[in-house]
Amino acid sequence: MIVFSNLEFIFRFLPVFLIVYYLTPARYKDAILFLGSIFVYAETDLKAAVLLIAAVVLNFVLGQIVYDDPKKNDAAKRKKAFILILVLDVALLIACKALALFREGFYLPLGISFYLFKMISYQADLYMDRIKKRPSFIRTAAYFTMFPQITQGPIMRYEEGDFDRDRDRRPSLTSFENGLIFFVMGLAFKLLLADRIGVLWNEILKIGYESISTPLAWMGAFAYSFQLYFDFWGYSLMAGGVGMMLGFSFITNFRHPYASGSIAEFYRRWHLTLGNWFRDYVYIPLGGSRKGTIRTILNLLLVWALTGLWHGGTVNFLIWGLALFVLIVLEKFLLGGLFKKVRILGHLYVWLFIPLTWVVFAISDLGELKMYFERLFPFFGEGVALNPGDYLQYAKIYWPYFLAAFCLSAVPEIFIRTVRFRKSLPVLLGLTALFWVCVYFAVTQIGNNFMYFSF
Amino acid sequence: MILLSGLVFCAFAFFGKDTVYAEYEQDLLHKPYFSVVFEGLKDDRYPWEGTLYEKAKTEQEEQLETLLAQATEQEGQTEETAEEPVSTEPAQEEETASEEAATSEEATASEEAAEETEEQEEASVVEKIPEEEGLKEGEVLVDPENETHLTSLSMPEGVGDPVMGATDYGVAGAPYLSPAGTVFNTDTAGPFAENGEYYLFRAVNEEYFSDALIVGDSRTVGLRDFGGMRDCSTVLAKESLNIFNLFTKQLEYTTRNGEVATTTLLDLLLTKQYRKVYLSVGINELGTPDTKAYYQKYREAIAVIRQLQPDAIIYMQGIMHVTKALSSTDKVFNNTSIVQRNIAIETLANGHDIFYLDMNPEFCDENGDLYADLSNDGIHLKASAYNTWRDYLMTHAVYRDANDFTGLGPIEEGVKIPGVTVPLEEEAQE
Repeated sequence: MIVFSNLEFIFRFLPVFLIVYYLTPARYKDAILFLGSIFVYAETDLKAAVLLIAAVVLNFVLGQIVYDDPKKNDAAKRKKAFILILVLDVALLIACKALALFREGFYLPLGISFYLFKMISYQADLYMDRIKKRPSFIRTAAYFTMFPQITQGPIMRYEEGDFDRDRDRRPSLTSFENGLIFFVMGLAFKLLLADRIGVLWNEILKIGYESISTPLAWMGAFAYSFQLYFDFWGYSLMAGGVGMMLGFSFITNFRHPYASGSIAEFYRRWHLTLGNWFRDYVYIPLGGSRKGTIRTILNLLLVWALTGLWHGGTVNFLIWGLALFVLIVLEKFLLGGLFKKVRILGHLYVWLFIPLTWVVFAISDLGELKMYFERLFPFFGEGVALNPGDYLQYAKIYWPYFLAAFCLSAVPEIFIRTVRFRKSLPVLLGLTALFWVCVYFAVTQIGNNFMYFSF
Repeated sequence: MILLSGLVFCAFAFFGKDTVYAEYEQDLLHKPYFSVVFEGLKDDRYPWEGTLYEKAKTEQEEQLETLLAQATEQEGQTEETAEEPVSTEPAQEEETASEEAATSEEATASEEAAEETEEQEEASVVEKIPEEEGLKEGEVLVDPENETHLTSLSMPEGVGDPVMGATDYGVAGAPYLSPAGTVFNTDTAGPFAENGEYYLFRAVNEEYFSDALIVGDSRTVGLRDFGGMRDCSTVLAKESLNIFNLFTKQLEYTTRNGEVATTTLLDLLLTKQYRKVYLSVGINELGTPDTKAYYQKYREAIAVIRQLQPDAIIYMQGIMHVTKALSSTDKVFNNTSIVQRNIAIETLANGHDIFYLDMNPEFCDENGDLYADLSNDGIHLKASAYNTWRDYLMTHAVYRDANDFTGLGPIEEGVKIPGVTVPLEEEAQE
């Protein structure tokens, strides 16, 4: 139910929640948000909800000590509490990730990587005095658990959510309308692009990597890249949209990464809230780029290794993070100048290497990964049971999705203009139509039991 | 605007609820009121079709009904004329053939046949799994050591592959299974006449498939594209083909001469004659209740194919099992359901011109689960595994006379055709 593109969420939980939320007096809205979030989270995974509540209470209690109260300022005590909660949060994250990796049948509690990162940033912000007002339990709890962000972020900061203001949240009709527009756009990205193109990636998996032609292997790399992008961007837009409906400001998580001229730039525009988190809470505290070249490189190495491991404990994520580290260091010290001079080279480089890194991201089995790269670069022998014309067959089916995905990724103007003219009649009509197309897909795929009926 | 259009869709749903959408279920707790409108769209039903929905029958469907009626009529006639129903079990006959032959000179023919069978042991796979003996269909055997349920396996009364069993992990959804104890019509003759002849499987080369038609779902698409069938046979396949849309769904037609077209099975069977028809469906229907309905539909389908292709050997391929990962968790895609359905259709084999093939022993472990390294999604073979399937078909072919297969060269006068036994009637006279 907590999945935004789920009919139950769109037509049952969200409207009911919004009505209750709007009818609730401003000062109790955060309480309702907390209760509603816990409800839908527990409905999805009851055991994980217990863990979530425990983590919330613990972080709140210790956070109260970490908070710098002008009246009783005990620096040593604050520091102790800060380190304690930091160790606890990090340990919990590592423990869960390790369990998921090594114990069969153990699933990562829903959204734990995201809410623990929120908790860590909350403690750090308290410790650094960035949070100006003593947080109340309800506000802290609502911030940690709020359902628009609990599963996949964005990793909003406490301050960004205006939780430390005196003023209560007052969502308006305009914010509802804007939120709905972003929500519908995200829904369309997710259901009409990501899910459609994702079918091709599954198809390739079905065939087995050893048996795909080289063109199909490349199509697959792009298909997965687009799937991931529109899935996550779509999700982030929906999360931002729901946030706006609730009276939060929009949290930007993606800023057209595929229009970047370098990979470093790509990651300044991709999953912003995570990148910024690592920048603010790891890279800069370590000295960032101000302590000489060697330290900068080491700091980057640490950040990217951690980024890799945050995504998952398997080796491929580590390789993925390290590959990005290598590319970014190369850019910083060697290629950067060239890419700035000849913009087009930079763009080509991004479009070539980013999909390759996503392949590493996607395939966790190293043997399989090697096989995939052998098909991408077929210098190491022939595939098994190849069907040489396979890519034509799939190109015929998927070209419209590829075209749409490419245009939307490469030309930010399309999206930016749509957002700018969102209140104009054609855009509204278009979005309404898109919405119902999405509903069609959602109904016909979840509504009937034969999800697998298209084998 | 979304609210407004939502109201319009709700209105559609409301006004159509007793007519267009009468058959659709409302589940207001989980789905919005207007879901039915979209479900309807998927099935080509539109809100403006105000009257009680009755899909106009296409010409094809009418044709199909006529054919079916004819086929069942014939079946009725055969039953009437068959005064003495043949009760001999050819499979057992085969096992005891050599003993009998030792005492009876006249039975040398069957001895020869038996010997030939032994010679071609690799080619003719007639396996029996010990657990299955003495069990009736629908019975469940409990393995006390593992406390797992082995779905019952029963030896067919016709000749052909036995159904491979599988461990029951207890997840199969009840609606998809027929209740325990359901007995399918196990008359060996099936809906068809039987003259007592039966055939053993033997090995052939690719040439055997040159006059065959291979019909199936996405799995057959894989066999065509990765198992090399495109180059040696005529294939009519498409994903999501199932026993319910078997004759009317538009399918991809390819021949070994490189022809490519789109057509339906019915059209093809009406216009061309084949010597062998291979049928492989069943995985897409697992989510539709239940085994009995599947069986019934399969029976009809075979009757229609028989009617239209009188000279063809019909091969019914058992549903390939799924991996343990699926079988032990999925209420739809599990081997319990698959085995039950295979047992059901296997009874339609007659050992004469309709055969049941079970490729599962080639692909499954001792629990009847598809080897995990052969499939990434648990259902479809990886491209590299399809050759095994083709090889299986090449070693499980029936050869009735020189018309079935010329690849073995001319048959000399007086030489027994390998794999053909004497008619049962002759033996009965001894």
